[in-house]
Amino acid sequence: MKALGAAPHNGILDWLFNWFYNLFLNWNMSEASAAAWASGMNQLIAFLIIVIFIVVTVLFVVLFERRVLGFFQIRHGPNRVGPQGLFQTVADALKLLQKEDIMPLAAEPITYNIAPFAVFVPSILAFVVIPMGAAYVGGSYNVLIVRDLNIGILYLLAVSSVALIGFLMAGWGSNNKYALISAFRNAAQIISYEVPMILAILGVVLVAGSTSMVDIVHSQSVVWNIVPQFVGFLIYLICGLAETNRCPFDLPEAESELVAGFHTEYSGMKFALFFLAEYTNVFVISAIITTLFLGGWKGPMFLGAGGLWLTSIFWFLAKTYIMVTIFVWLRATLPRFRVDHLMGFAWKFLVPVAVVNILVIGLGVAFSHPLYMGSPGNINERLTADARVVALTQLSSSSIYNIMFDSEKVEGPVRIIEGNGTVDFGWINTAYGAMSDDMKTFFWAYNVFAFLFLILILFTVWKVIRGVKRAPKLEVMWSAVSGGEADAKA
Amino acid sequence: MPYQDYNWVALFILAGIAFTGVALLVAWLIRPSRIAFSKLTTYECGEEPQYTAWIRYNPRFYVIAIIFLVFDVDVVFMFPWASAYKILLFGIPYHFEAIGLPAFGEMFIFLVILLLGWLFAWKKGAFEWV
Repeated sequence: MKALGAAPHNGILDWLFNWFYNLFLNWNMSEASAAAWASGMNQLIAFLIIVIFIVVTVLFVVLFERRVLGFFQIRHGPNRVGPQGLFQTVADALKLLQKEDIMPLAAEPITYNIAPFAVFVPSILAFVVIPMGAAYVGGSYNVLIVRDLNIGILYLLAVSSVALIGFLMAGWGSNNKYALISAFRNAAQIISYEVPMILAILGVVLVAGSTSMVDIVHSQSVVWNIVPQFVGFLIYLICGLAETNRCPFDLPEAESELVAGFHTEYSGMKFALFFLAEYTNVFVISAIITTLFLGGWKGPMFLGAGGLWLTSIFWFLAKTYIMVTIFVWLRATLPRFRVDHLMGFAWKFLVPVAVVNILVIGLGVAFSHPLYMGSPGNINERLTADARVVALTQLSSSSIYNIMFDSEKVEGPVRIIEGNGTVDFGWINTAYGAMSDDMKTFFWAYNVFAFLFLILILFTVWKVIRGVKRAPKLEVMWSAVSGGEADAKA
Repeated sequence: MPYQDYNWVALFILAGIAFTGVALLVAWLIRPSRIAFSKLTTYECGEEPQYTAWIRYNPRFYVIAIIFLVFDVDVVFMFPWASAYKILLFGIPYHFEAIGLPAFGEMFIFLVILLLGWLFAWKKGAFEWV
């Protein structure tokens, strides 16, 4: 965090800082403690902005899914409450707020009541390390992120595993057979799919040379990871679906067999918290896919330096919502897996593919293949892709967002590339136009391979789902219906 | 300051707990409470609930958990390797001593052993559900 008292530019936050500073001085505080309190108030406001962003995002994702799912099923979806049904989720939350809270007598109160916390809090925690944009403020290049932890992606993995304990607590604490079966299934499914997921992430870490989320985004300045690591992207997508219990991996919530899964016994606000946590996870997984494979906030920065923050947030949200749409699309399209097929698919298919994927990427990096090199270690060169856009444009002075920046990593002058101030679509050129012939050949060969692999995966899924359906023999059917009575009589 | 970064993680934990707590508190204040015995029984699709749900779980979950543990520990070894891979290969940007291709070869041997173990587990039927 910057020392805000010493910040030279005159943004809204500095105005706010001065306001609080004078206020605290009038309350007969010493200058040092007034500065400390004013800075603390600024951080509090920044924090509130983040929390409001999270809440609004989650409410919107719920509505987004219901609307898009409606369009897939040729109906309107919720469209009555507010314009285009915009306040539907708020209305639902208010309704659930007033519902009676029923805890069964057989339940274990402590576990039962802690479970909503244990599920909801980890889903919020993931927002700490997700980079949502970049901005050029006060002469320095800043990344819009709460904190750029140097263990970024490991932190995300650790945090998402905590929610699993919450699911088990909910299942066990309810003392309900459906809930318990669902919790066990959930645990087995999440830990099984975590292995290929981590292996897919390792490919990204190999190219970035770092586990920090910001470094991973910067390593995609030239080519987004989805191009050289399409296999890893698909593995991560599948595992992300399984981790968030989304269709076709929604076995823990299979309505036809387990009623509502681990939250069968929850009602009112506690149920709402499970629901919100699920949709937060959908957004978080989409944002992680965006960061790891789709270049994070990178894209054509058509508003120049002053609007870098706006364009970068726009690209981040656009990519994330495209991923959310794909999640909904899969839910609208695919039927549910069978539980043994689910486990077999993770262990027998995804794990070896992910290991081979790591070896291929490792070889690509070892032989310095351009697609696998990420960007150079020099921080100035790493920032080139965005800094080029920023060239020679007037800097914006007012900024509400600079308090959220993590500017420590990029201290010192950013090298500004000479340009003519026009919009620069350089990333398209660097991505394909500027490739050497060798690189282009590899690019196409890889894409053909990736396409074939996609067909293989789709074929496997098809076989897994459809292969079950065999024509049963008449005798088998008859003995199943008669229940062996004929045998007993004979 | 890397360690101070984690203050924000703590802040988010507190915020999450506060959000959940306030939501439950408000619900507790305004919701009705009309208790009836039938409402408080365990839900079993209309049947009278038989016995408790707290059973001993199936051993196949145990096998899956053990296999997961093996792979997870392996992955813990692979993360430092992956972060330092380019440095090991080329010695840039921190001017470490580069060891070159053995950085790949050693992990290759490690992964081959891992895959052999995976094959063994498969042949032993550890991945068979049911």
